[in-house]
Amino acid sequence: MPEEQTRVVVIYGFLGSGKTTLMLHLAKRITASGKRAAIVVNEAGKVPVDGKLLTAAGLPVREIFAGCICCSVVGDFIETLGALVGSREFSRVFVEPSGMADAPRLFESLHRHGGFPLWKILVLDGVRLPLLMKAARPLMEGQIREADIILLNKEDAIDGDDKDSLIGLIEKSVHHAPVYPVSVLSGIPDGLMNELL
Amino acid sequence: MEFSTYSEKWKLSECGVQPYALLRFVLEACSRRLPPDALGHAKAFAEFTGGRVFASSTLTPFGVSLRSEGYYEGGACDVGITLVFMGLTMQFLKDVLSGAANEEVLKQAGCVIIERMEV
Repeated sequence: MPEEQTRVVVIYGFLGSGKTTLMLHLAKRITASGKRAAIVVNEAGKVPVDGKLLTAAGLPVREIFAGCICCSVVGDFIETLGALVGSREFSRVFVEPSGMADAPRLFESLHRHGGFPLWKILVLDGVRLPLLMKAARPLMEGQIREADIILLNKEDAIDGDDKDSLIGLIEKSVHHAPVYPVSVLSGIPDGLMNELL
Repeated sequence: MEFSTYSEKWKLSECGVQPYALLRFVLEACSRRLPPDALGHAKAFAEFTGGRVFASSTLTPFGVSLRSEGYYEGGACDVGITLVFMGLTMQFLKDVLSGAANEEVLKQAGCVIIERMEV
């Protein structure tokens, strides 16, 4: 049984930004250190791909289907999360909202209903960020405003000058969080991994 | 912002290629049918005796991330695919996946389908 308080780590971002891959890295790191981690995943579709993938990695997973945890199934979500945190069995509970989630709405619900100690990691797709900021600006700005830490993912596919302009684009959205360019698929450097956890 | 999802499950009695290749072919064929600026992603899995494969892709631009365990040596294979995109209708996504599956992939890959269902 962990002595520290269970921390709820929310890994959020748009569809295809790299959330599930990051969660696998983080959950494996936690379990490798001898602590226990649980995962709550809200699948966007009706085929449980993420749940199967995470379960196959040996992690305890609770899946929430048939709606988004920021709105239509928020009650189920809060109840599930409350049970995991209340069990005091886990050092970390990782939450992956669907890539469609409205971040401010989600975090307001978590604050109002649960009062859980939250750590909010935003994963941004560096390749598609300019397009996303044009096509879905309110959604993206809401995500950026809420973050405690921002990972600008897929940096290996971005030119150096473009990386600077992308960070500028993020900073225009008024945030207080540090921004780290990364390639989640290639792995997270140890120093940053410690900061994320 | 409106999002649509479309998902299918397939039961195959035989898959003529390695399941990771099947998933890649299907997702690549979907990618060719989407508008180049479409925003969303696709996820898929295949499960067979002795292993499984997971695939994910934003489809635009095309590139697929695959995680594979085990080696397919023939026989039954279950497949699940889901598409989630912003600003496209469910019917459009259904047409994308159906077109990709029917016209390009399943026959060419030598797959024998027992059941194909929308979920």
